[in-house]
Amino acid sequence: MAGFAHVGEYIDALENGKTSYGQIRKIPSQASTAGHWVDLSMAAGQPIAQYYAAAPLEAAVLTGMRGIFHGDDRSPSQKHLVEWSLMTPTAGLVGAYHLLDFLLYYPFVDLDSTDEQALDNTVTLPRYTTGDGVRVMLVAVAPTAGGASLRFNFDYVDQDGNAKTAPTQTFNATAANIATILSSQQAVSGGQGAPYLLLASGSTGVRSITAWRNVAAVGGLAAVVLVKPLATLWLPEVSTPVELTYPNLKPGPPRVYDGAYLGLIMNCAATVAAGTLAGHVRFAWG
Amino acid sequence: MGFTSQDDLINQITVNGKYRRVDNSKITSPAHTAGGWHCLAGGAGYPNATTYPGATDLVFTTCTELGGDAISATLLGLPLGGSPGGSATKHILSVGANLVAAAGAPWQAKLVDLQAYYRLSGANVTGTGSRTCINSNTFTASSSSGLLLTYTNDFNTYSKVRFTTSGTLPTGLSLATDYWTIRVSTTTCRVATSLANAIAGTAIAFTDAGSGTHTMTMQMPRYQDGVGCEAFFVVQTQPTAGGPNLSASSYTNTAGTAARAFQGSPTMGATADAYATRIIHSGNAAGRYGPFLPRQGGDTGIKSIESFTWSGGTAYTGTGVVALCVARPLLDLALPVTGMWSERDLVNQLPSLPQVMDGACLVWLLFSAGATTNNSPFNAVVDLGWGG
Repeated sequence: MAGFAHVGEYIDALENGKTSYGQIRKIPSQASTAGHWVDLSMAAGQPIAQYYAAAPLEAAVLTGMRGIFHGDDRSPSQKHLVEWSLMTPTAGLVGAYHLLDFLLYYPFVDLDSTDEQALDNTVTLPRYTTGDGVRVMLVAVAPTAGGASLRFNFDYVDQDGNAKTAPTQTFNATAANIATILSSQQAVSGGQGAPYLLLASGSTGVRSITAWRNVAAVGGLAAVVLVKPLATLWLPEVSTPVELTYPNLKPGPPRVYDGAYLGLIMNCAATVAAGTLAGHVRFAWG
Repeated sequence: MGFTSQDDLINQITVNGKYRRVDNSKITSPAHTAGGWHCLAGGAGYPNATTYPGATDLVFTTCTELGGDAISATLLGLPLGGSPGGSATKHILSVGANLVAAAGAPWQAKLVDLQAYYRLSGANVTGTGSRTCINSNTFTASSSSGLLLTYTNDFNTYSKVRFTTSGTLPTGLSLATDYWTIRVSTTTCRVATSLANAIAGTAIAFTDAGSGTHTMTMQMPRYQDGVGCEAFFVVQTQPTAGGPNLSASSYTNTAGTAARAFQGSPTMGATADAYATRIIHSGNAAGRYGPFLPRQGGDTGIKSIESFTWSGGTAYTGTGVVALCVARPLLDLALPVTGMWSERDLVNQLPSLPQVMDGACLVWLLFSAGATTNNSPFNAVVDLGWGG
């Protein structure tokens, strides 16, 4: 049976070895700025870094086994995150973390150009296929210069199949390095200060993105990434492990689909360069 | 139905997939002054800022997550999804949020289900006379792809309504029964027997127009007779100067008693405390109340607001826009320091599992103990599950 029919079945899964375990150790090399969100899937360590490298502007997917390890496919059973922890000795890595399922990305969007860039959607969402609950991140893959009031918007297809245009949004005002999320700078006039891009009214998610427009270019290159947020954890200070278990400390163990590429983003307190993040994840299936 | 046991909870979430995580973000803009409550629905972020739109001032405007009509140019609340009309009830399993600001801590976040608002602009903000809220219209019935009602004001689609008459209601409509509107134009709508039918466009058929004078009256969309509902004034566009008092008011309570009054003659904030998103009667000074207007003793909720008067103090000037909102509080979350992710587990830690009604328009209110830096991001996650 998929999932857990009752709490006892969940305990049985743990006792009968229906679990998988993954280790996290990230050592970011790219500097970041306090308050920006950073994509740690691009950081070295375990799992290995990925660089959103594929044909420019053509939708591509990441291979699940290269993300945070969650084991083999378990269909028709359902795999759920039941435990995870993080710890860092690095001041810059103190802050909020989101565990994401990285679904799809559009590589090498040119942030120097103000021409409209059409995105190829031959490859479609591998999971959450309607797009409901799917959010968008703009991740630098080449450094951007930044600048006040530099803006962008994009066209997309929402969860109901409707063509929409996102509100015009502001890039980070200060220069941002590789792996920085370019909409996340805080205390910027007109800025979002959030890891996910704003969507038009009525949208609960994104199925695909069809075009990108820089209203005023910020420089550099970026990947536009479609993700499904799964879980949140907060590290309040250095060298103090934080652990979260489901369902006794938090209800709603998030489902992890077969083939999911799991990765972390975080809201850094200072540069994450040369920092260390360690942790683990555990999954169970019914 | 909700969850019959912990076993049922984990079964519904993991086997049946009845779980949803909703991420949203808002910006504190403009900067918050100390000691005030704010309604973040009007702030930039995801979902989009609302402008409390309305073609005519003081018209009861129903709020739902569904939006999507000419009046709701913006989506007001958290986009929740889910299918209304089923037997399942949605519940908040856990909630988390943080605010990153150079100054202003601590904060208190309050999640509310916004039921409706009455928009005020022009002389309705600057005047000192009594403002009469529009909760009902008389209507005529005709045939146009079903029973079509024609009236005066532009009511929002999916409004919950009831009907009365001096004669006989059109066939298909009954007294003391809830219906939901399907807006057709600024002065017409069709009517459905449930919210689900309204969304599906399944309208009541036309048989006859009835007789006498018919009246359609707005209802609180999700809490019968407004049980547990509270009211507050929030600024959308800052007036130029002033700060009047709520010197008189009249509302109907949940028991149906009319001519109830908000207490204490709350003072509306002077211009410095009357910026966009600010709940203008909240604050540290005497005569301030927040986030909600004090109800008259013994009242358990607000069914409708009939009128109010701002006078005394100093009348507002300029071209401000204010919304008089009615909302049902759901939960509170303390944000002690900047950046700290506060989370509350509503199953194990505080087993209240607040119910989120179909169509709920979830909105965050935020209390800033200190002056809070402009453009500070507020990020939140709401986890929901449903049984049935």
